[in-house]
Amino acid sequence: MTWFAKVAAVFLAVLAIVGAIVWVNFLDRYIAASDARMQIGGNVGYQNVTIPAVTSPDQNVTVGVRFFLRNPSGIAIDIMHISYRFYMDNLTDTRSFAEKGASIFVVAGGFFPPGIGYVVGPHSTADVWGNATVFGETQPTQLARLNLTFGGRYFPIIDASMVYRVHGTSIVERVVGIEFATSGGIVPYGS
Amino acid sequence: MDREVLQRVLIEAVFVVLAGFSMGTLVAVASFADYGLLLSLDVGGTIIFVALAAGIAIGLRLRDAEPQYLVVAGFVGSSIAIVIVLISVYAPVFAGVVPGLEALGPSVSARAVIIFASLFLIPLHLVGCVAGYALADFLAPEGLRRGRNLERL
Repeated sequence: MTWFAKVAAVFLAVLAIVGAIVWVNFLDRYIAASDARMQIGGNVGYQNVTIPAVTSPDQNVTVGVRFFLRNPSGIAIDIMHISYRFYMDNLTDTRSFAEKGASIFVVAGGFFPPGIGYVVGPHSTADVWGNATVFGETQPTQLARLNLTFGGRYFPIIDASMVYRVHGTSIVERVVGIEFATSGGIVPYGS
Repeated sequence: MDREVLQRVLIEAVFVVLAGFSMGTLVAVASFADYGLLLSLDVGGTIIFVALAAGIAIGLRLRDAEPQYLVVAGFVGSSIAIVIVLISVYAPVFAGVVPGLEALGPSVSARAVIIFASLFLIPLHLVGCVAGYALADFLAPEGLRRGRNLERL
């Protein structure tokens, strides 16, 4: 065998080894990322919603919304932000949500982590708080809408969306329509 | 078939498979740069460089073979590469994590481009094989060269 045939053999072997290593790494991440993109939508939701009792007309009220995100995939997920629109349902208004939405909207809020986002590791669950504040002094209308109880309970409606990135990639996805509504109502916090 | 010839054919077949495997894997990784952590490759450059380099290597190894076998080796190698690119594109489906690639979003055209671009491996790899074959003849010791005998002409 000539020297250049040996060199060619070594070159092909090295190329194949390098190719195998990067290909296995790529396949692992590609399949895990595809799995994540398929499953995240059904694994994000609400853990808790806390609304304080309103006791004065110029009170600053901070609404707390606790989201959970289960990551069933084998690759980490970066939550870039979760944003939501907070409504307080008026049970005496029998119109559909689409019709009365503008009149019962209270405030927008969300979870906005700094930097690359909030990392949720593979096969793990994260809870994050997304707060929204109504400033009674400057937002009396919103405070009045918020302070609407029936039988001493709030009936909030929340419509959230989440933007996440598959960790270490440039794949950014948005999950829309993360909705919260309660039939039993929420007891005001601190009342 | 002579045992030695068979052994030689099998050895060269292994290298053709290695060439096809390395072309396919590297082109697939370059095509899905979003997912690769280890290497970030330019798609066009990878297709050109890997196809030519692997072809030259195969050409250098098949110096003793008839040219038609070189062409067959080139086709087989690049076909293996295209199959690997196809497997890579549909990997989530084969792994059973998605019912179809459409579920991952509107990037059907992007996947079609990847598969189409991988077809360029065939001509480039064949050019590489021929170049390697010629280079082998040039590098071979004087007595082992196969080219035309100009003195006889």
